[in-house]
Amino acid sequence: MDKEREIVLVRDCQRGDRRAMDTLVRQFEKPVFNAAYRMLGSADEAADVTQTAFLKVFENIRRFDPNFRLFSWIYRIAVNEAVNQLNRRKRFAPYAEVPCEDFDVSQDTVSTSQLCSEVQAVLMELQPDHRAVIVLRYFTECSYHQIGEILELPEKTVKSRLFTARQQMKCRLQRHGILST
Amino acid sequence: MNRYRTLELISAAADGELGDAERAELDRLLDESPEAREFQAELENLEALFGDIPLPDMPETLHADIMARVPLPQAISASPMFAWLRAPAPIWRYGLATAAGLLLAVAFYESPLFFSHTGNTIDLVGTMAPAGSRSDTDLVDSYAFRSDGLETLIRLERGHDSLLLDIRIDADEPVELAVNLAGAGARLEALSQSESPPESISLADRILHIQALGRRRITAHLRRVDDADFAGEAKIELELSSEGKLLQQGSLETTW
Repeated sequence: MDKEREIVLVRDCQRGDRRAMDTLVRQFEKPVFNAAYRMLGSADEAADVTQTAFLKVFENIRRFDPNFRLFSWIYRIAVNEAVNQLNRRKRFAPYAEVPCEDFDVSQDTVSTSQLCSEVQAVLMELQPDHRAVIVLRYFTECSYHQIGEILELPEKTVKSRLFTARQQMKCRLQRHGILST
Repeated sequence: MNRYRTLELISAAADGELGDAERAELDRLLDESPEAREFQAELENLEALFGDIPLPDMPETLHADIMARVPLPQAISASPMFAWLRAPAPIWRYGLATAAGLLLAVAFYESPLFFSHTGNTIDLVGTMAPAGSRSDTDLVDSYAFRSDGLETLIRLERGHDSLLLDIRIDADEPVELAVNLAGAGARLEALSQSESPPESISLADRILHIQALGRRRITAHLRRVDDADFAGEAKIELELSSEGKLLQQGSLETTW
């Protein structure tokens, strides 16, 4: 969606136009649900977070700053809501450093569904702030600048955090046997 | 070779964030360093791995669940222009409203001067619904529009097999509201109003045209029709215009 259409859509939503609200939800519900699912590893919780995120979007739409892109603002609300949900859950595994080696993908040894659940399990082992950059980079295809806007971080921090998160991710994938050394 | 710089460039390339000058620098590093090529391959493998992960299935009801929780517009409720609607009405107002409603109903059926039935008048078969029937309805959708000198609030309430459209207009200049009932799966059963009647009301091809100037409120009572082609989703389309110029479009939706 280009910036001009986005401005019109936001303005219509601010006026309370239900059709515009419906359009906005349709535009972003899938990627928001996807991001929430990757952050939480649970479809039910992701659905709850997606609903709450859109509720907050419409509650605060009058305060939307047009200097930001709409999707960045919505993702920010969704990611924060997912992190809140994780904090409420208080049962993610303790974080630990893992020695790292080089790796290759051994995709022929696992089916897609296995791969999916294994990768999600590994993702859940990361700290939430590292998981968030991986999710935004690989599952929502955001740029450094967009990730920075969403997580309210300087681009430099995004780069370094993404580097660390990737290293952690590949080490864990390797440990789980999803990537060979 | 500066290892940090190499990793930074390879990461940036994998993330699609590399400029032309940096691309040339990276190409040179890749030519010179097996370690750099190895790191690049690692990132490509990771990218490929994530690319193989399918999107999770979104629950089928998620969209409806979200829209059901979206708050209704509050613009009008905060406005002093409609304060008269929220204020407790003295008893004589209810009496006046009932009398005016009856008068309107009689006028609706009897007077070609007040209503111009140019279309499918089968929609008008029915009786006046009492205002008290609203206690059996739930608010399911609403539409609000505000600009200089004009405020409109339309609420859609749903009963068991009926819909109630509560239309409020406060306009400094003449406006026309077109209410398209074609997708509602309902026919217009009756009209009632609690204060001043609109300047004119007409029904043509299932579109209710209301012309209003000043503060007006009217309620349309719709009854569900049995129609084989009807999917069960009621959609009422709205167009608000002034002097032939479209001001705003919108819709109200629910399911039977």
